[in-house]
This record gives sequence, C-alpha cells and structure tokens, in this order.
Amino acid sequence: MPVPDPQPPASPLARRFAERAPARERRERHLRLGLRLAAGFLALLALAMPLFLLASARVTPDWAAHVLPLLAGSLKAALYAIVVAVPLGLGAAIWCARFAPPAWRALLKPLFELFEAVPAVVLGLIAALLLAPWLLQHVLSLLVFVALLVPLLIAIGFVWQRFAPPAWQQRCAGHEVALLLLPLLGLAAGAVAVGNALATTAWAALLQPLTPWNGLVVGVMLGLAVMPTVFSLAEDALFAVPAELALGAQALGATRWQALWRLLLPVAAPGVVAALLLGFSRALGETMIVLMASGNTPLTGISPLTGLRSIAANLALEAPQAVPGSAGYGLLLLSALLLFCICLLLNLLAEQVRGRLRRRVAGL
Amino acid sequence: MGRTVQYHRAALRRHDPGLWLAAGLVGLSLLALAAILSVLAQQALQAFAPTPVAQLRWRGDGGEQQLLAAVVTQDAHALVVRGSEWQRRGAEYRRIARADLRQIDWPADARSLRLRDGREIYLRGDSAAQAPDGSRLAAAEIVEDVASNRLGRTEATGLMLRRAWDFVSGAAQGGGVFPALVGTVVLVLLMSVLVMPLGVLLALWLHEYAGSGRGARILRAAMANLAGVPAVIYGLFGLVLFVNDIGGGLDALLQSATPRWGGGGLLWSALTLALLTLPVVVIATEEGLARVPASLRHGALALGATRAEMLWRVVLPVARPALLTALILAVARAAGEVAPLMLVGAVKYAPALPLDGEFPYLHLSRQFMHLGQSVYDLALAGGDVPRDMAQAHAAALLLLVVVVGLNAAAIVARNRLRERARELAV
Amino acid sequence: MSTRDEDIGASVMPPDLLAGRDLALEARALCLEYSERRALDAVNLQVPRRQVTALIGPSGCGKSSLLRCFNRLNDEIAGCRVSGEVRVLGLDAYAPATALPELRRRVGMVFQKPNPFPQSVADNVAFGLRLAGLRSRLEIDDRVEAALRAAGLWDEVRDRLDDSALRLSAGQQQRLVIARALAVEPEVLLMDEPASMLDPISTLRFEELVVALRERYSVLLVTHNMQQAARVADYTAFMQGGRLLEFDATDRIFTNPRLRGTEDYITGRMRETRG
Repeated sequence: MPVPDPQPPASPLARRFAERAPARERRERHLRLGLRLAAGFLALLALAMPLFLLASARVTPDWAAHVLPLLAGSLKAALYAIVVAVPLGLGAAIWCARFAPPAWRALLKPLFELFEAVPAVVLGLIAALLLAPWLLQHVLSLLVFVALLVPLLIAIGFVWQRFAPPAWQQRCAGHEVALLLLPLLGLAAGAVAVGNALATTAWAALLQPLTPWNGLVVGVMLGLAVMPTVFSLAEDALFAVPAELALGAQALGATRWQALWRLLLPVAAPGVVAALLLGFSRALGETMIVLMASGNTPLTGISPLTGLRSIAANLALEAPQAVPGSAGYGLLLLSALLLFCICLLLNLLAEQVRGRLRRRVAGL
Repeated sequence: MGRTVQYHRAALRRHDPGLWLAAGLVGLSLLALAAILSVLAQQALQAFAPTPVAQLRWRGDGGEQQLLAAVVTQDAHALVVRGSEWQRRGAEYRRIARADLRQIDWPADARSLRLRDGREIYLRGDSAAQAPDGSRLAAAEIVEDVASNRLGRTEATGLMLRRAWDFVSGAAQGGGVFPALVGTVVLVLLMSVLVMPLGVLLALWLHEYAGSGRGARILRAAMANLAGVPAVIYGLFGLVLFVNDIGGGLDALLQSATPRWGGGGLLWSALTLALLTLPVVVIATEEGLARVPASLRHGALALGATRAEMLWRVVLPVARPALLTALILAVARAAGEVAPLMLVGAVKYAPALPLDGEFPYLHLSRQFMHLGQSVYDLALAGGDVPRDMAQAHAAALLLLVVVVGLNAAAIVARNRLRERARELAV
Repeated sequence: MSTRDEDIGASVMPPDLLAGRDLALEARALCLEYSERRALDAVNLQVPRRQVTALIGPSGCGKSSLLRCFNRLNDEIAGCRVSGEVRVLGLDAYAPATALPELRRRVGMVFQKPNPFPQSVADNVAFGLRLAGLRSRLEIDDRVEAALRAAGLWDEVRDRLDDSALRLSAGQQQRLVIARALAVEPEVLLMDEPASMLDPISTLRFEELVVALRERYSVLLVTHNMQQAARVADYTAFMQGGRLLEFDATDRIFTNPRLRGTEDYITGRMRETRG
C-alpha cells in the first residue's frame, strides 16, 4: 500500500497550518469573550427583574387594604385549581406511569403535553362565556357528579372483576380507560338530570352562585389548565422508580394498587410534592383565565360561589393605565413583587424536593 | 416479558379499586379535553353558519308587529332575532317570548344580504334592497347575497368555508382577524430573531465553556427559576424597563412632543416575549447539545480543531433539529401568551398594521393587534354580542390551531432528534 | 524521587532496548487522577519513531487514559489532573506555550468506535484540510484521494464520495477515520482498540493497514487482542492497575516475559481465546 511521505517541518500543509494558527487562536478567543459577555448580559437582565420591581415598588400606609384582598384572591383561585388539578393529574399520572400499556402511554403523554400548550386565553374564553352561565344553573349537578364519581368507579371495577368473563377481562386489561368512558358520560347525564330535578329545592337555592363569574368557575378551568403540569411532573417521578420494586411486592401477594401505595408512592413522593408545588405556583401566576372568569371583585371570602380578584389579573387590568411614579403604580409593583417572591419560593422548594427524588432513585 | 404477563393475571384475580379510580380520572381528563375542543369548535362554527330567516308576527307593546328577521338563537321560552340592520351593526336584536309569538314562517324566497361593513339586510323575492327611508343600496355595497332558507348541505358548507376564509384573510369587513393575525405573526417573528441568537449563545456558553463553575451554576439556576415566573410579571418588567425607562428616556433624548417610544409598541412587546421565552430556548438547546455524542466532539478535537471550530462545524450541524425544536417551542409559547402583551403594546384596535409598504416597512414603535388580545376583547368588551362572541370563539380556535400545531411540530422534531442521536450513538 | 523513577524505568524495560532509536512519544513519571480515582501511577513509556508499539493489559488498567495524555484529550474530562512529563516529538505536551491544535494535528487519533462526522465521505476527509484554510477544490480533492488511498479505502468509496459517511460499513468507517487523520499529515497515530468493533475480515484488512502505516508513522496501538498485538506490533507494553509493568520487543514479551503477571495475562488470554 502506498503511503504519502510526511516531511515533518517543511511540508506545505504544515506551513499552511502554521500560518493560520494565530488567526484561529484569535477567533477562538473572540468567541469565548463574546459568549461570556452575552452570558453576563443575560445574567444581569435576569437579576435585574426582581431589582426593578423592588426599586419601583412603594409601600404606602394603606398598602394592606389594597394588596391583601388581591393576595387572598390569588390564593383562593390557586387553591380551588389545585383541588381540581391534583386528583385529575395525579390519577392520570399513576395510571399512565404504572398501569397503562406502552401504547396508551405513548398516546397520553404527548396529548397532555399538547393540552398544556393550549393558550390560557382560549380556556378563559370558554370559562367566561360557556362554563360560567352553565354552572350558574348546575352547581348541584356538579356536586352530584363529584359525589358519585368515586363510588361509581370502584363499583364498576368490582363488578367487572367479579362478573365479567375472564376472556373479556384478559382482552380489556390495560384498556380500562376506554371501558370507563361510557359510564362516565352516563354519570354526567344522570347528574344533570338529578340536578335539574332538585333545582327547586332549598338545597339548590343555597348553592345558587351570586354571580356567574366565581371561584368555582375559575377553579374548574384553572384546574384543567394546571392539570397537565401536575401530570407530567408526577408521571416523570413515578416512572423513574424502577419497576422491579413493584414486581417484587406483587410477587409477595400485594395487588398492584397496594404495591403502588405502599412502595412506589413513598419513593416518588418528593417528585409528586414538587408537582403539587409547581402546579400551585403556575395557578398563582396564571392571568387570563382568572381575568376573564373571576369577575375581578376584590373579595376576601373563601366561598367558591363568590367572585375574586387575583394579583395577576389586577396587574393586567391596572398596569396599562397606571401613571409611572404614582402611588397606585408603586402598589401594583409591590403586589407584583409579592407574587414574584411567592412563585420563586415555590419553584426553589420544588427544585430542592426534586433533587431529593433524584438522589433517592439513584440510590435504588 | 413473561413475568409481566404473569403478574398481570395475578393482579386481575384480585380486586384492585385504585386502578379503576386512576383509570377513571384519566377518562375524566380526556372527556374534559374533548368537551373543551368540541364546544369551541361548535361555537366557532356558529360564527360562519348561515342563519335561517323567518317571517314573524307577534304581539308587542304597541299591538301586533311583524318582521322579516334572522333567528339567532331559540329555546323553549323565547327567540332572539335580528332584523335588517339599516342603521348600525348590532342595533336590531330583539327578544320575543314564545308566549307572544303569533305566527312564524320560513319563507323559501327569503334572502339575506351582507354589506361591505358587516351589516345584514333581509329581503323576500327579487325585490331590490330599499331602506325604510326610501334610499337604495348600491350594488357595490353588497358582498354576499344568499337565499338563506334554501341552502343545501354542500352550499351551506361552501358558504361557511368562504366566510371563514374571509374572516381569516381580512376580506370580511366589520370584524376579521387579519390585522390581529398579522400582528401576531410579525411579533413572533421579531421575537424569534431576538431570542434565538441570544439563547443559543447562552446555551453554548453554559454547555461548552462554563462547565460547572460558579457563574454557570448561578445562570442555570436563574434560567430554571425564570421559567417559573408568571408571564404577567414579565409584562410588568417590560412595562417598567422597556416602556417607561428606556422608551421614556429615548423620547426625552429625541425630544419628541408625543410619546413615540414611551408607549407600548411592537419592539417592546417582542423584547418582553424574548425574555419570556429565553429559558425555553436555553433549556431546549442545552438538551440538544448534550445529545451530540462525545465521540464526535473528541473526533473533531483530535484532528486539531479549536473549540470554536468543533462547535461550528460538527456540534451545531448535528444539533440543528434541537435548535429548530427550541425555536418552535419558543414560538408556541409566545404565540399563546396574552397577559404580558396587554401591558406592553397589544391593543384592541390599531389603526395601522405594524408591517406595510411605507418606509421603514416594519414600524417598531407602533401599537399592534394580537390574536389572543382579540379573543379577550371580543369576548368581554364587544358591542354586537352574539356576533362578537361567535367570532371570539372562531379567533380562539384559530389561535389554538396555530399554537397546538406548532407544539405538535416541536414534539415530532424532538422525537426525530432523539432517534437521530441514538443512531449516531450506535 | 528521580532515582526511584530511574529504578522503575529500569525494571520495566531492558536497558538498551531502544538504544539509538528516535523517540516519538515519551512519558516520565506520569500520574493521572480522575476526581476520586488514580488512573495512572508513575508511568514511564518510550515509543520509538516509525514503529508499531502495542499497549496491552486488562480492562480499566489505564491504557486509554495513557493514550489520551499524548494528545491531551484528557483535558476534555472534567476533574482530570495530570502530573509528570509528556514529550511528543521532543516537545513538552503540557507546557503552557504548547498550541493544542498544532499538537493534535501532529498526533492523530483513532477511537474504539468509528466516529465519522454525519457528513459526506469527502467532507469527512477534508475536515482537517479546511481547518488549514485550504479552499482550492482541486487541491482538496487531490489530498482527499491521497489520504483515502493511504487508508486503503479509495477503491471502495471512489464512486460514493458524496454519500453520507454513516452509510459505510463499520470497517470502512474505521478506515475513513484513519484517512481523515492522515489527511492532516500527522507524525504519530494513537489507536484506541480500533478493531474491537470490526468483524474478522475487516480486522485483518485493518491490521494490514497498520503494518503499512508503520513505514511512515509512529503508531501506538491499544488492544485487547493478544494475537493482534503479536501480529502487528514491534514493541509491546503491558499495563496493570495504572502501572506500566513491562516493555519489550513483541516477540520477546510473548515468548519469554520477564514478569509473572505478564505471563499470566498473556497465557490466560490465549487459552481463553482458543477454548
């Protein structure tokens, strides 16, 4: 095989390399410098955000009267949202991570990811124009639906496992969701019928919302908006726990649910808690849904049937008109700073907790 | 595998209520999602569906009245109808209780005319359009003439598609989303131009140069936490920093009499969104860089490439799909975000597009309309309620299609990237 | 300290083995630590010019780490510290004034797994040339052809120069990587178990190539395969637990090793492969 003869010091190529070396080194230095400058600039900008809020915020003597009702509104909205989002998100995550066949999981994960991307203003629109008038008439139906949901699901599971032919059970294992869709629709229809039948009773009058735009509407829609966040974080946490742990427990006679409840959930608990914290933080900061569906009345009551006004919605409403330097402007920035700090705190906490999960899983 | 099946069977023999509960919650979530989508689509269709025209006779305050009108909605108690809008769009709605209704016919020769400014006129037979005060409509005013009660299914579908297209493309007068669509697109493009170079540079520095030094740790933590800051706070930050401080300062510097930069505008909105999407871009790009196999980097370095050359010639080309994913994710996030824009420049009605044929073509300081803002305004602050509500849903559907389409594209691109990374790693 | 180093050197290598030969690579008292683990412990190695030197030893004994000291690719690994002296073609590799790109150009490297860039075959080979600022299409084509011929790949890919390099077979990819390294005219070639992923026929072709390269280049070859070392190497070094234990001419080390450990490793390995 012919081999070219390299002539070490004087080959033309080596000379070319030598000639170009300074220019290449210079370019490398410039890139490094440029990158560092860009990074520094952005770091500065990132740090500037809270500082700017801090610099323009102003505490007037009556700040509490302005800011606290808003804070209460934010917390109330986020609380009801979490009440809706956690069962849905966590239940979906548990089924997806532990019980679903790969095909279902491959379908559900991107689907919920897409759901997370749905613009808040679209959900807000539906909440304000369709859900709110409907719920004005049907609070009782909703209550019936929620109350009967859990017993119905458990009863269906029981009946199915006890009485369905084993061949059907075999075929439908892993497809329980599809089996349950029709009963759920039936339950919804039934609940509406019951609600309508009871519409004239004293119960219905007690549950009649004072305004179509209230905490209940916000909670339902904001909960749906936050649910994908809770789902994907909790799902990741549960899926990260090795399957052998559960299989071992099942070999000892535990049902899959017992294995999950006793073994997996405690291991994955930090991840699930982080999901809750981040979901809460997202619900606190969500603007459009609350802005459109909450009525924006600064009330401090906890009742789901009254309206509320959150910090975020208040910012969207008042900031465009606020005069820089005025007292109202300072209070707005104060409330924004408050919101920023709470969200930051929740995020940091969630990050800490997730770090614990990572260490725990790595230890298994 | 066989083991799994065995456990599957074993579990089936026992009662497992939790499983059914979890499955039911998945089903509930899916149903809620389906309900939202179907309700939205149904409401959006109503914006374009032809309304039947009825000849009504009813007992009103001043004795018996009659009217040729379009029936907008009807239920068990009442109907809402819209008479010919000779004066003003949205001025002729009437609510008629079923108890008062004497007669309702659906004449086959009814026509509805749609005028250039969005008003609708209802006629019967071949008669020319004549207003109550005797004036006649010029033919050029009429953009659509439909025999409402005689439409077949295909004709009705065609009509709806045409109206939908007019709504999107701007041909529909008195309520099209074209300016908002242009505003959204221009804003998002400008945002991409601003955020991509910065985000990629920052990711390169973090992943390729900084290693695990203290600066990198701080910046990484800042990025992770910025991703969790509410969007409206970004809007406020943009308002304080860009609009009031920088914009106000610019105006003072240029000594302009009217606030030009000191108000909300396209540039400030794009900068705010760029800041908002920066963490998305950095995180997605870093993930992509991490997926470039070390063997390729080492191969390039071992040939005598400097770090810059390695990045430019090997790493970035391989990570190109990741950059694309980052861009799409940023665009999807930005396109759906409304709250910060309400603070820094999106308005209900802007007299001019931000992009036009006049020098300098792209007007950075102009206020602009945005699709999401239009949804909000149409829903809550409209004058012609039934039409505006329907159009709000149509605009929302359009926004949803754009954003979900972009996100789906990002998911596909990401999966392809992962496959390719696996291919390279084999 | 220095006397002890001399002692180790003496015990490792027959005193006059490399007398009168030019050295391509040299390591003196080379220690290398990863963040928590010491990978190389006072290694002394001399690699003669225009010969093939094989580096054998059990997995994890530090062969690859040693190899990567000669082109300072260890710099890429976070938390990796090197002490001692490394001389490449007479120059101190770890001196502050050493220009890394030039060092790495003169010391080509072939990895265990073929790592062609996801580009065309021709672009892969021309990668280093373009770094030198070569623009003339004609000159680049000539040099690409010469490098591919030198790597024994030209006849197989002359019609597929514009195809993606990832479509070549593993054996072809590995020779492509060699062609890519040869194109920038290195003087030393480091090979890190280059044939471990190849099928027997490709391995044979690869070994022929290494023997041919020996005429012009100094080759340092890490291998797991005893027969391969015996077939291609002029000198062989045996490493264990981060130490270089024995260095000798290949025929001597395989027929009459001085150390018990070397013999155990070689014979155990051979019995294993026969069985």
